[in-house]
Amino acid sequence: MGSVPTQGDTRLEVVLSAEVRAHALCRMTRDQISSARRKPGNPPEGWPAIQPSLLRNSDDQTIAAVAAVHGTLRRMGHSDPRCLEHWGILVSSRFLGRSSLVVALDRFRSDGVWGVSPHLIPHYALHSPAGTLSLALGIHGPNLGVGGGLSAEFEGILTALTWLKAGIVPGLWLVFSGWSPEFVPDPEGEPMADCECQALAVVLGPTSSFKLDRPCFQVVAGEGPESPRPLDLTVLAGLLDQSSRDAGRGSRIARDLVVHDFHHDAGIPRPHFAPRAPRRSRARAIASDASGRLRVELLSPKFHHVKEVG
Amino acid sequence: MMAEDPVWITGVGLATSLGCNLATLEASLLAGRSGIAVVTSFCTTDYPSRIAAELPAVPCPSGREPREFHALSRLEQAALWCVQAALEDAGLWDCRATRRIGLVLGIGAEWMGLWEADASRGGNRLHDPTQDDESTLQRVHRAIGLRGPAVNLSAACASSNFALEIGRAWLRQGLVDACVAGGCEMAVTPIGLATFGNLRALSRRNDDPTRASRPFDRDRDGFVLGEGGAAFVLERAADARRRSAHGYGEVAGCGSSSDAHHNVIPSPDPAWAGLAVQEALADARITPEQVDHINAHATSTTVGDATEAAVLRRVFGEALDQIPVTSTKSMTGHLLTAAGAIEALACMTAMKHRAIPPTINLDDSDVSLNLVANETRPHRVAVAVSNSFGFGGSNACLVLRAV
Repeated sequence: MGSVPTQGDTRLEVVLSAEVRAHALCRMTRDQISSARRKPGNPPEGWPAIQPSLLRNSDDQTIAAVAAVHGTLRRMGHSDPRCLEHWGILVSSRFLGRSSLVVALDRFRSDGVWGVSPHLIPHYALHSPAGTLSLALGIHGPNLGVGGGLSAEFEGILTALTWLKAGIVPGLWLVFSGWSPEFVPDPEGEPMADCECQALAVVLGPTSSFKLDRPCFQVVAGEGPESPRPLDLTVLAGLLDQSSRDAGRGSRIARDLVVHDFHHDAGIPRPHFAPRAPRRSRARAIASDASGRLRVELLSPKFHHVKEVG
Repeated sequence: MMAEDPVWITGVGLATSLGCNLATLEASLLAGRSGIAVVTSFCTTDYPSRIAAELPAVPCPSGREPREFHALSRLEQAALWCVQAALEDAGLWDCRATRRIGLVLGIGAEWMGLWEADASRGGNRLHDPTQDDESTLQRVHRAIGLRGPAVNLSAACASSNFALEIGRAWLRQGLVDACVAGGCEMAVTPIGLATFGNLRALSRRNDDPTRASRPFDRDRDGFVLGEGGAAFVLERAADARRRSAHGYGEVAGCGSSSDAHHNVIPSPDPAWAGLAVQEALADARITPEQVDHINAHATSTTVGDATEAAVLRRVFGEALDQIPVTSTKSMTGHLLTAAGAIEALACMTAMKHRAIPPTINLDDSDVSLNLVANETRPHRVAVAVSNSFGFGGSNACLVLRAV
């Protein structure tokens, strides 16, 4: 499992950004997931109850994702689902369906074709958690699964910020999910070692002002070292917690003061990026893409309070 | 670049049961030829559905070692072929290392497919996560040598339209100089065919494969799985014009929504899928009367086809009677995450040849639509709408405009 690296001042170009307006992390054991599958908890006030039939066949990561979203709604104190009806839902999951396929292959070998569950594609494919979340929340904006592998977090944030900047959605839920450490199934599909299912739900909206009074995700262009994969969701949640507390204390840093000193490879022209003034920031790189030319940073109002990690 | 500046398709690559190049696919679609047959890649004796539009051997892209290429997973072969062919077709292959070319692919059940294939060879990948270090998307990105961002996504059967929308957005946002977008699907596997069959989603017309996929026909009994994919090179129109690139069409409008009704069953309320279509029309700045052709999602399921007919009526009203509607899944089968990409090709075929590919096997329609039944219909198509509705209640609509 990777961790969130720190990053010194670098010269990078911010190409996309969005505010993190709320978040919540959910960590569940397999037993807790089984319990939640049978008896979903009460929803936040004002939100629809989850019928057990909705989650009966869902992947473990979907159940953790629903719990994380409910946790976020509780932290927000948001009780009017109609306000979010047209928001988007993106779920960046990792390696869905591993244990289910172990079971499916076993049943296929023992019982033949008719032993294979009909739920594999509806509930264990990349689209499944996002679709189930749209049902659970009654959201009619677009829902999409992103990533699926070790770079899921980068791909999810890039897609989320793309949607926001393009005006495809007014705001969105971005949920990261995966196992820590990665689920290694035994022949019965049960984990061979202790592991927990994690889901981090994040509410994202367009950046609203020059004043940085909320943490921001930003996609920046420029080459640099590849970030460890996968992203440690507990570390990211910790950074968001700290950042949100700082924002709550009224911490403000004018974004005009942000400076990056990173010198990207000049070999590839970027004619479409307008020249920008250098800015100073305590931004942290949290994920990078396959080409190493784009990275995601978490920009905090006051990151120097955060304990170094990794 | 301004948000409203046009984005063109300047290159295509494809791999389908009806051919792996555009000319062959176009000829097959316009001839009303079915790509569906009895599954031959594995024994299907006990399967409820034993038919599919299987992809034959994927051609080895130029410059690659055939033995190494055919050792790759079939999904990766298809994706690699489509992406490389699209870049070659666009004339960007030789400059891919000096341009920021992005990659957005709709691939839905990648890992389950890879794990299943590995297990069938006696491998242990399913129980050894250390072997899962690189996704198919990343492998293709690296093998091609692209320098732009890459995203893998899935909205089930609506995936490819989402991919095109994101590719267009990246161009407009200045993230890329060009973007390859599309979808690939290889679901015809022992487990894949079994799970869809047991879901009772597939046609059981096993004794008559070419007549099994029959969208909008009263006797339809489910869809037929298809394999393959398609990829498009997207470029800003101004860039394409500057280098005198051929434009296949403009990605003029995109819209999306969720039913929030059921994981598998489409909502009986046409409002939500209709919202995606309305958004796409608004994005393209056109009225329903300006649409010349609709390539329906229509997979050949009893509920889905009827629901889509209601969606179209809600959005297009009386204008719908003048708009020819077809479902090319009658020939290609349902390529799931790649369906939208294949159907965009069908729309471009209609634009180019001024003729709409038919819905074959349409003997007795039970919906009130202006359907192109069984024979290609000559018709000028300047604006085409392509619907894709998927599991999870995902709806995505694409508007293509001739250039």
